[in-house]
Amino acid sequence: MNQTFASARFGRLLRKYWQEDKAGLTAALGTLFATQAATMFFLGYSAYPDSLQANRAIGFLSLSLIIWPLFTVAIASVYNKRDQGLSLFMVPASLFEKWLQLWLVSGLLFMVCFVGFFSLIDVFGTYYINHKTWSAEELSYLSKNNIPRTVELFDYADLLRTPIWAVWVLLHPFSLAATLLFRKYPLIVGVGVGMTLFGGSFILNNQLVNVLLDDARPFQAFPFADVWAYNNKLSVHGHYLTLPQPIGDIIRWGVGIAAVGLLYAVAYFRLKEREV
Amino acid sequence: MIQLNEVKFGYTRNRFIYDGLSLTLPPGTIFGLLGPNGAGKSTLLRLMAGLLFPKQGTVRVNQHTPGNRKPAFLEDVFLLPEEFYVPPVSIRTFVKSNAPFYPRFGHTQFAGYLAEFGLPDTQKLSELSYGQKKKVLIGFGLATNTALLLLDEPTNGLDIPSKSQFRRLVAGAAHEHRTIIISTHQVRDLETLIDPIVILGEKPNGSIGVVLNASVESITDRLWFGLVPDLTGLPPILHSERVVVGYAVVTENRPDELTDYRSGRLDLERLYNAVQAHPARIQQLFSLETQPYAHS
Repeated sequence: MNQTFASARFGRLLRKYWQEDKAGLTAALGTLFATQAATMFFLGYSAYPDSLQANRAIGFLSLSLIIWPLFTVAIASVYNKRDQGLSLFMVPASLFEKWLQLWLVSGLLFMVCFVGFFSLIDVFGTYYINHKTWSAEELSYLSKNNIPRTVELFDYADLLRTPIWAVWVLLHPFSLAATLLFRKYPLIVGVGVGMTLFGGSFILNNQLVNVLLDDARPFQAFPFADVWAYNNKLSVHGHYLTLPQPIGDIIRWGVGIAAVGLLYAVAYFRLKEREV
Repeated sequence: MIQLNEVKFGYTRNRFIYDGLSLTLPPGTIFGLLGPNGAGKSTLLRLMAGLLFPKQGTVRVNQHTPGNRKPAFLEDVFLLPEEFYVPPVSIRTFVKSNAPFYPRFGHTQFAGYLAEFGLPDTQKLSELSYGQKKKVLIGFGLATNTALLLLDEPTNGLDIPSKSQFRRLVAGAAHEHRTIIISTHQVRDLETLIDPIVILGEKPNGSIGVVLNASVESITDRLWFGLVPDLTGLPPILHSERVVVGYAVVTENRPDELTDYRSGRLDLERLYNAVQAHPARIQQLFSLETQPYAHS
């Protein structure tokens, strides 16, 4: 049997995980659903329809930005515990299979459940809004502000229109790498390092634009966002800079994919060299 | 066959527990691994299991390098650590999820062990006492039929009847292709089970080395265990202690000087004390030329 990956052995590993951890996993996913439902009801579906699309995007991003790292740390930190880590390392499966199982459960499973739950809640929430009986005051507010009374289901493409998706893509590889890199207090240290890197990328981005445009004013410096450039040093008017294509997208996607790949590689090699 | 060659290992950068440890353990035996607290008995088992990596030197277990953690190696080794984790599932579920990883797992064999320990397989592992959990894991480990079985302090937490059950089951599960290594402080629990005996001790440079690695036969050939009324007229004494009827002693075995005394059987606790008190002399007595298993 192949010593790096064998589907039969990987299947056994997944079955073992499910049989032994289904109670914890089900409880975690149940909590996720309840949190999403409660947050989205209070944040989105109890407001007026005009703000719903923005509120849903905020809800989706803020919930996933908080819960996904927590979930990943909870799943992967079993390898940081002496007794549990020992029993997992002794399971006759390859390190790649063990890493892949971590990736599947903390990454793919979470994503599928998160998006699935969010969509399900959205179906009910949208139905609730579209069939809501508005009070006279609310109706008057809606017609005064020309706000339609019905809404569409959440458009996930909206998320890609904000540069925050770049942070979102890095979230899982970074959380996984940080959990396996920092054996003690991975959550606290990971958040600290993540915030420092994120803050550092803002400063670096801004510095880079300052140098390139020879303008010392602060710029929109969110990583992966378009740069707003002033027409000249005295002007308050300007326009968005676009990089020449296809080199612009090659750089952007190249940097993103390299960062994701590097973080997953760090996670794998930390798992490989972990001693218990 | 387990071979450790010039192994250097420490948990901190400049302090090594092992510095040049070499040890060869042939298959088909139940090794007893003894040593003082902090001598690195558990560390040695973890090195053999691939959970720790030597800083220098090599560890080989049946053609495998444990540190590579390849599935082919892992399905032929089972480690029962002193402190262990059990998932919150029934024994039946535990077996269902873990047994498929071990190609030679004996389901009937395991059922027999459970019956022997009086544990129903519907029982939840998390609801068992420490000793009962240990019994389940001992039974599971024996039933895996792996070529290497590493047991770290297996009798800790077992009640008195379970200790003799343990000895019986381990003896029954041993065969010529299987190496069982038992690390223990409870020497009296395993006196009749382990052979050969490996005793770790401190070397002059402060690191830990193998002071003794010898079969029971070779030990009783070279050392004499007995009770004497006083300590005069005996060959060089390696260990003595006051007992009710005189002294329990361990001396070098020189039959012509011991004709007046009746020899006792091997006493592991006294052997251990003798080895710790006179490591250099013991190593000399069991030098490479005369002992069956190479060590340093």
